[in-house]
Amino acid sequence: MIGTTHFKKLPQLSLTSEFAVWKIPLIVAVIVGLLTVLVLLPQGAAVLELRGNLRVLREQLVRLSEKADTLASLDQEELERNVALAERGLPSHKPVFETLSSLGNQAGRAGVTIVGYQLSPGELATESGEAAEDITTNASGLLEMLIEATVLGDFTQIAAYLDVLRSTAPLVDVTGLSLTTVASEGGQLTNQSELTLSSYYALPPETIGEPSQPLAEFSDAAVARLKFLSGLEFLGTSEATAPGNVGKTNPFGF
Amino acid sequence: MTVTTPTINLLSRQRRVMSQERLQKRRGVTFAALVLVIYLAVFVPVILYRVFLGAQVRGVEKKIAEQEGVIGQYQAVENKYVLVASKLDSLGSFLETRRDTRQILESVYTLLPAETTLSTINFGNRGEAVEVNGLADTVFSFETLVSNVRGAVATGQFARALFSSVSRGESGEYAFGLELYLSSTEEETQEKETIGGEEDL
Repeated sequence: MIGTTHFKKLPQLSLTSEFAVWKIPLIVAVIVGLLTVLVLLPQGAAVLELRGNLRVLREQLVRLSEKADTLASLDQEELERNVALAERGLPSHKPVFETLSSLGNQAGRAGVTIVGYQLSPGELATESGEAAEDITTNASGLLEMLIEATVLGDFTQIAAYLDVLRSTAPLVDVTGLSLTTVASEGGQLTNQSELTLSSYYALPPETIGEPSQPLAEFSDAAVARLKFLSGLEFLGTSEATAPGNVGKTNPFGF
Repeated sequence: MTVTTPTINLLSRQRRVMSQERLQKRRGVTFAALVLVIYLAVFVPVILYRVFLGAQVRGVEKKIAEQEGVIGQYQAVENKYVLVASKLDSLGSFLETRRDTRQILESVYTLLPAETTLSTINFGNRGEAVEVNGLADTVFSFETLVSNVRGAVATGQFARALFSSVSRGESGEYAFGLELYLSSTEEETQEKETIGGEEDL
């Protein structure tokens, strides 16, 4: 009886001890599972994200360092000269006075007589650099101001005028020409030309000075364009004779 | 008769069972510890690497901020540089498409025989077409003009040419209207041909 009783108790003891045997592995499994879900997976994802960020940041740092080095090594005087050249050829504002002054002086050099100009400057560019609504652009993206000019002269003189216009600052292009043979006062035949001219200007870029933007060195083509700009003649007298903003003391007098 | 009491050693069996249980338990604990160690061998480096990367990112961000500060000191210089670069960029495409008006006029003049007189030259349509009106004294000079124009088109001096009008006056002179196309404006030319039925050279 005793033995039978003893043998009946054995399985009960075994069940209890089985739980005891797997208790610690079970706890470990739960801990591992929880750590994996709550810590390891998020941290793993964070590691991947940080690695990506770090790579991007390092590339950005290299670009910024190169840009800082480039800026530090720029010749300030040369840059000032280039700015002056660029502004003379392609001003950042509507070059009304400069163009008229330059066209008039070039006409004198070519020997043609300017009978008259007609232009509608329209709204002037704002200080913020935003283009006014009435501003037109050409195919190259340059802003243009149209000028109708009537000039008198023989063909050679008009051809010479067209030549000098090509090398005039601010940039001017002949977009229309009507050449008519007319009789002058002395009875000689001469040519009258109605020129449609476009004077160009370009507003400063809106994305100026972004630190993340790389500073590309001037290409050979850009250097050639600078050379072209330096060859332009500015025969205006804006700086020398432009009236100061002092107002008139006598509004009815000249 | 000797009565023998059966000797059943229950403790011996229990000891064996318990010994097996202890062994199983030890194995379980050992396995759990091994798993935990292996897991920690992965877990701890991941956490440390995460911390290391975080420190690296902060360090690079600090350097970036320093470089941005340096660049900020050169803001005015950069503005000027970008301004020049932008204007030169705009200038490039302009110069590529710019036409030499004088050369075009001279090309037109070389087409005209001595016995022709020009009335007007219109150079418009943003420099793509030249409209010439003039008078040819005789039919022979007009024929020479047509031949010259045909030759100019054949040599590529002009893309297309068409006489928009030709009329003979009372004194035998020929008034003509000639359109010379500097670049291909196919649609416009074809439209004119369809509408006016003019002679296309």
